[in-house]
Parts: sequence; C-alpha cells; structure tokens
Amino acid sequence: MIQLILFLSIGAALLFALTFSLRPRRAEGGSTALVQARQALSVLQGGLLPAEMVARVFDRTDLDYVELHGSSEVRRLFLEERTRVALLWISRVREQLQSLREFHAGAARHYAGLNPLTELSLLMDFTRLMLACRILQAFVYLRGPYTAPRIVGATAATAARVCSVSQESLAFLTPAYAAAGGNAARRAQ
Amino acid sequence: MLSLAIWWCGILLEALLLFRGLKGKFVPQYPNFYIYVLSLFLTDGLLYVAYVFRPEIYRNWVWYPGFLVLFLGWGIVLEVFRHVFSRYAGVEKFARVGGFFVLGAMVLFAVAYPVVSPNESTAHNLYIRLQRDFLTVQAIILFLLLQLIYYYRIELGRNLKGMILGYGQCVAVTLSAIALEAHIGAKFESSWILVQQLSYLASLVIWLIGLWSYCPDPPPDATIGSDGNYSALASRTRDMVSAAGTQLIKVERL
Repeated sequence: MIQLILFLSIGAALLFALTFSLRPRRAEGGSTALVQARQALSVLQGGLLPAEMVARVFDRTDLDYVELHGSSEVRRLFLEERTRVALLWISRVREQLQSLREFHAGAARHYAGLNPLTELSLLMDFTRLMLACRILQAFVYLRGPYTAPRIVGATAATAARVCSVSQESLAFLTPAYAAAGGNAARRAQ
Repeated sequence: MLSLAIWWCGILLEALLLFRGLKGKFVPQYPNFYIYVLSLFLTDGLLYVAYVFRPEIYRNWVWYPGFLVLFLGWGIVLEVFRHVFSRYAGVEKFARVGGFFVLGAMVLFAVAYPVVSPNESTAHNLYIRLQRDFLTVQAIILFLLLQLIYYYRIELGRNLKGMILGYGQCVAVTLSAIALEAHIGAKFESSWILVQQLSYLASLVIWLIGLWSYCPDPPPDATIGSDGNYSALASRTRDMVSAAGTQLIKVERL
C-alpha cells in the first residue's frame, strides 16, 4: 500500500508540475524586470512598510474613539473597514515580496557560480516570510485587526530587512537599471 | 482490435514525426530525441511484422526491445537538460547535482532491494521492475527540472515544451499504471495496457504538434553578473537569512 501511494504521488506530482510549470509567463532578469523590481522596492519602503503607517492601521486609538462616540452599527462598520484595509496591506506586502523573489531568481540564473545551497536557503527564507504573511492574514480575517499587533510589527520588520538587502543586491545592477530606464524613457518619447 | 488500431496509429505517428524532423532539417538539433523515436518506430514495425507472420517469435521477443527503449528514454531527459540549461551554467549545475543525487539514491535502492528481497528474474518481471525504477528516477528528475524552470522563469520554445509535456505525461501515467497493476493484480492488466497505449498515443500527438516545425528556445533578455558578483549577492543574502530567521522566531512565539 505504501508503494502504491508513493508511486501514485510521484506520478501525480509530475502531472501537476507539467500543468503549471510549462505555462507561458513573463521572463525575469531583463530590463523590464529590473524596473519592476525597483518599483516593488519603492512601494514596500515608501508606501507600505513605514512604521507609522503600520502602527496607524493597527492602532486601537481609532477603535476606542469610535466605541466612545459611535453606535454599535458604526463600530461594526469601522471594524469591517479596518479589517479590509489590514488584509489589503498584508496582501500587498506579499505581492511585493513575491515580485522581489522573482527578481532574485531572474537575476541569479545568469551566474555561473550560482550556489545551490545558498539558493535553497534563500528560497526557504522567502517561503517562511510568505507563510508568516499567510498566518497573519488568517489571524486578521478570523479575529480582526486588533488581535495581533506584535505579529504585524515583526512581519513588517522582517519585510523591511528583506527590502534593505534587496536594495543592496540591486545596487550593482544600477548601470543596467539606468540603461533600462533610459530605454523606457526613449520609448515613452 | 482497439489495441491493434492504437498500434497502427502509433507506427503512423512515429513515421510522421520522423518525416517532419527530416523534412524540416532539425533532426541534428535534437539527436537523442530522434534516436528514441527511431527506435520506437523500428521496434513497433518489426514487432508488428512478427506478430502477423511469426507469432511465436513475437511472444519470445516482445519484452526485449522494451529494455532498449527504456534506456533510450534517458536520451529525452538528457536532451531537455542540454537545451534548457545551455544558457544558464549555474542553474545547470544545480540540476546536475540534484539529478546525480536522485540517480545515486535509486541505483543504491536497485542494488540493495534484490539483496533484501530476492524475486524471480524472468524477462517480464525484470522488465517491469526496471521500468518502474527507471521511470521513478526520470519522473523525479523531470519534476526537479520543471521546478527549476518555474523558479528561474526559463523560457522554452515550442519544440522543448512539446518534448517535455509528451514524455512527462507518458512517464507519469505509466508509473501510476504500473503501481496500480502491482497492487490490484492481474484483473487490472488489460486496463493498464490500454491506459499505457492511450498515454503513449497522446505523447506522439503532443510531440507531433510540438515538433511540427523548428522552434528554438528564446534567448534570455539580458546577461548580467559574474561569479564575483554572485559571491557578494550570496553573502548579503546570508545576512538577510539570519536576520529574517530571528524575526520569524519572534512571530512564531507570539
């Protein structure tokens, strides 16, 4: 029975991989990808991750104010809206991290000295971060935005660190980025 | 009758596949693949002649060409390796390390298993066991290869996509059918032969569509970086891994 399950699982996994891996996708590592990676970094650092913005979304002060002055209907509406904003924030962070991960893979594939172990550990790191975001998403969805402020803080800090390292990683690509930006500008004209 | 019809269709499709390759002059681009198709064509054709005119020869020899085809099947995996990673030396190293690891583990298993659990070694039983072991290794290697293609966003041409899809689905279906047959027994035999034949026919159709004309893999957008740059990137990445790990432990404890 174990043999049957093992071989059927291998067969099913291969069919699954064939279905998903061979679908056409946009290529990474080129000039467009560089521009998109820069945009992802800018959005993460400038628009999504600043501590004050995160604190504001998950701060209880607004809820206390609504509870003091509003009816239960207003409170319910406020919590619904705040939950939506929190979920949107988390999903945007995930999207941008995904974009950065794809950029890294797109750039790393060109190196002859690529180290499989390093790549695997980096993949694990990104996966853990994504998983943390998923757990946070489930937490906020089930129990609202005011139940896990420390998780929010930790996830935001981790994402911010990823950003800073990614920015350093992108630094050596500046000439390519500039060239790509120049090309994009010329096309726009 | 259905099996015979599938057999005829198979020979016809194999001939058409070879004809298109020769006509389009792209056989030299994929030599291992076309050697495999040629071996299938010759095997099917000769076995059919034996089946019609000398059935006793067919009965005695039917399993032996299978060994040859089984070994030549590796040619397709090698062909895919050669083409997919020709422009990505680092990813190719990654795939090679993973491939050797899986192959080594399976060879170890294939050597150790008969010692631990000896079995009767008729051509049929040996073929079935070899086929299962070979297909398992190929399935795992193809799976790893597809993960690398997906992760590193490597663009493939229509020829290579057709080659991988056709062979991959045949490997997956045959492996599942062998496992089911071994578990359920003789009553599943006629069904699993039909399933295998249909899957093989599907492979030929996919190959014919994918390799109707020559369509090379698109070149990568840009070539950036060098070994020195990767080392710098890797050290920065290691810093990030430890920092992220510390943060995530905090998350898990909350």
